[in-house]
Amino acid sequence: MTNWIERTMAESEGNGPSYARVREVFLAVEDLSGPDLHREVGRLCGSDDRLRTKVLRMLDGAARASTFLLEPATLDGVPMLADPLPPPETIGAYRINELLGEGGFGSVYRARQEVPIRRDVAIKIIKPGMDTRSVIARFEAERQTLALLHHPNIAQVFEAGATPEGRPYFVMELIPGEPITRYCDHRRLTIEERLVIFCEVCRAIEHAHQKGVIHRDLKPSNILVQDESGHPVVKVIDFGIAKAIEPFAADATRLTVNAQIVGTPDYMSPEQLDGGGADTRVDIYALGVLLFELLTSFTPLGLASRERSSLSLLMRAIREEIPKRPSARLGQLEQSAAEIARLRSTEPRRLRARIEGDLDWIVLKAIEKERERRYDSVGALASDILHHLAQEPVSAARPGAWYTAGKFVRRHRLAVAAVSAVVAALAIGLTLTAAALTRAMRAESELRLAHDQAVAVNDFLVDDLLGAANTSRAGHTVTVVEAMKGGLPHVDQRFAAKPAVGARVKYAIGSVFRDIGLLEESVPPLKASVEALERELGPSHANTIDAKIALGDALRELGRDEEAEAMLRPAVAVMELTSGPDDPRTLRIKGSLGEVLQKRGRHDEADALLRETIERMVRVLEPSEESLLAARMSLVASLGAQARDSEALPYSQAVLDQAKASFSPTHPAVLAAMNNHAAMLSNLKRYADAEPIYRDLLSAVEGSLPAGHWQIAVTRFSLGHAIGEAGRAGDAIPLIERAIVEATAALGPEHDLVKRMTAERDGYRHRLEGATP
Amino acid sequence: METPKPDETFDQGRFASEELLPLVYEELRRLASRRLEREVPGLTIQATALVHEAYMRLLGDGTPTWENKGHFFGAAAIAMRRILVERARRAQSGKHGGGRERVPLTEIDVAAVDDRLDFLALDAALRRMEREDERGARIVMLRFFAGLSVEETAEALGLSASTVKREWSCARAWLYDELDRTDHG
Repeated sequence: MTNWIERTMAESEGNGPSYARVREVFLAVEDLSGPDLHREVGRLCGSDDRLRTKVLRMLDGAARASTFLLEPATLDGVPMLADPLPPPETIGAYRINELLGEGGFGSVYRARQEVPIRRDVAIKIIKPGMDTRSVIARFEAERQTLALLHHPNIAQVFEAGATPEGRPYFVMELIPGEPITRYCDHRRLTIEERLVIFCEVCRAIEHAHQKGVIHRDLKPSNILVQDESGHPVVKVIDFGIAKAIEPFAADATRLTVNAQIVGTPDYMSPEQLDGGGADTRVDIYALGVLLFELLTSFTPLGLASRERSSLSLLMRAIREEIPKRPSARLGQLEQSAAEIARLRSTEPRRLRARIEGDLDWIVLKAIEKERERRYDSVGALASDILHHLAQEPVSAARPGAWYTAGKFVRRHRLAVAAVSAVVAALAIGLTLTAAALTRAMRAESELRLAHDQAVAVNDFLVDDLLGAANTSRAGHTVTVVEAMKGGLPHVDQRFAAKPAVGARVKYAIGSVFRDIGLLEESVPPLKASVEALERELGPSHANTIDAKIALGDALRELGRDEEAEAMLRPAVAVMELTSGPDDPRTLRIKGSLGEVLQKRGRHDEADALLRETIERMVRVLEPSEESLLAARMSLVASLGAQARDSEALPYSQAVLDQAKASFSPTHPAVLAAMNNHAAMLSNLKRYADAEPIYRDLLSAVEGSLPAGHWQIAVTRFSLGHAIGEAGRAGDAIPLIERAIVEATAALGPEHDLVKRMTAERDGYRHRLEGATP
Repeated sequence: METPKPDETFDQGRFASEELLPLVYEELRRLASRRLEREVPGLTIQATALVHEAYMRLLGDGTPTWENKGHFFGAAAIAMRRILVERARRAQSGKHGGGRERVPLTEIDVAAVDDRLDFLALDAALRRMEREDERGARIVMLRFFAGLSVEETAEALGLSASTVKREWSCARAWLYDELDRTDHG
């Protein structure tokens, strides 16, 4: 009975037996022939005549003899591909008329509305590839806010819906204008006239910002200008649309789609590459780019013309490439200078002189890579323009040497800023990761392995390193580490013809350094290997990602969290794009990013990212995979840091139990879980519970890590801290003192950890003195 | 007859990264139309060539692993299928929706199979197949729409070549019969 119903349901759609049933029989009998075949088919099909007929017809040979589907699909010379699927004649109450334009995400048509109002509107139909319901839902969520936007320079978006084919569409006010850049060029507007129109644009955007709406996709084609009785009137279109389609058009995708297919990634700010937390400053950046283009006809980075550029190069340019000043850009021109000046009703020399100075600095301030350094509001940008027009001083000033030193200075500043993040992270408890411990414990065997591999690859270690080390240190026992340190400078030369191999050797050396606790030493070779691998093998290559994970871990362990984040974030984006969100390497590097975010105290983001990653890892990876455990531990640490104890403590206990269930009692993953659970207990002031766990842990770590490893010091200090906080300062001080000696040897006297330990020891001493006057 | 919903089954599951799809789709379409502009009329472009060109342009710097490639070709197959289905749908609506002039497969010249292949019927059959055997449908997608060889398909899906061969021959026979029978009415 049930069978009959199921069959009927399946058949009602395809007018035949279901594929699954057919396949079962077909595969069981396909190698048979003659009476065997018929008997077996009859047996398997029972009384199902249609199934039998179908299978026999399939076996009959007609299909097998034909070339059906054997040649891959072809597109023949019908010139239909050039334009997209035609829109339906009507959508809802709108009759679709001619195509007005095509953009990155869709086509815009003129349409006629008859009821309730008779008017012409513009309808933007989004291209395939996005989840229609979510797009519309996101737009609806934004509607309340959009409804607040009443400004003469902002075009209204009336509604969103889905076409019969299931594509999202947006109905907008129809603006009979042209893109702002074209408008200005057609009329040969002077710099002053252009600045006045630009200020109009700023006012519209400022209004939106004040209502809490960010545009996110400002560019000339979204800023239209029309003539109304001889005066230019600005209309900014597409408010709310970028946000609605955002999650389905990851910015990296948008970047490439734009660069290779439709125009320009030039208007995208560096932070938009990362996909997180866009604020009003992305619009300020885009306005700065627009101003650059209005002044010079060029965009600051000229990305759209870099036809063959790959995704990673474009991303790097947006993040790192420092644009020229607008006036300097004009100075580079040869033939086109006269034409560009003519479009501004002037001549090249005068145009440059006009822009040099204030306008240069205003533009550069708006397009700073670091958003903190941009104007803090559109109003501030507009007011600088107005000051300039009124020949008053502007707030943007020549940055001098700062500007030329550019990104190096900035990097340095970031490093300084990272220090405070470390202090904050330390204050919330010390977290070891399973991965770090495992690596350290395997360091001995990895040393050998890395050594063997390198020798096997290219006799490099034996000939260059060990040989060199032996002569220079005659009479000493040469360790592999010494050999590696000595040989590192020769890698480039030795592998000049095979940079990818050289990069892997550096990766191996850097990993060994990190594994045995030489964190500072590990960074340069890892960094060099990441750069070379990215260049040689591409940003999503397995080797590149492995090197990035290693470098990210080393940076994080060194407290250089900001650097780690800056490297991991785009790596995650690229991996999600090229390898998909469930790729094991995507998940591992995402887990690393989660650890960094957690350590930097970005709890909301870390929580969301870690939870998502864990969920995917559970589906894709083995339960005993260390990156899964590491991600779980980071989540524990994050919850703990937010003092969400009721959630964190049981989760932490569960992670510990899970580790114990998957591994032997002294496995590094178990020890890491013990450490984190003890740290959490300690944070909750349950010192009596924490102390025995720390004791077990310390003896295990001492037994398995190479002597002098910084994590031994960390564990000893944690034990001392738990004891001291429990009120036994006298017992705590010797432990902490020993930890200080160990940590100083491993990390140097300036390391924050050493400072924190010293401060704590002094605190306990003080306490003791206070208690026994 | 249900209205076809192009996005309903194409995009689901782990078949391809959703983010990759719009990118690949546009790239294929752009490459195809550029070639068609340049080349002689009547030219046919094989999916294999087109998809590989798109691959080189989008991800070609370096030597990505098959893990990465698999995702790309998954998206490329979806994109090709969509382009072909859209085109067929247009051709049909161009004929005013009325009687479809189709030649039964058994009667036509073998070389012309692709020209006469009813992509709408193939799409519908493939959609029925996807509902019951996602893996089999993926094999068809990669073999036919992305133009991968048996070995490449096996690698992309993490299957053995012999499994791919068996499933492919069954799927092909089933689809052949589905389309053939549809044509006979």
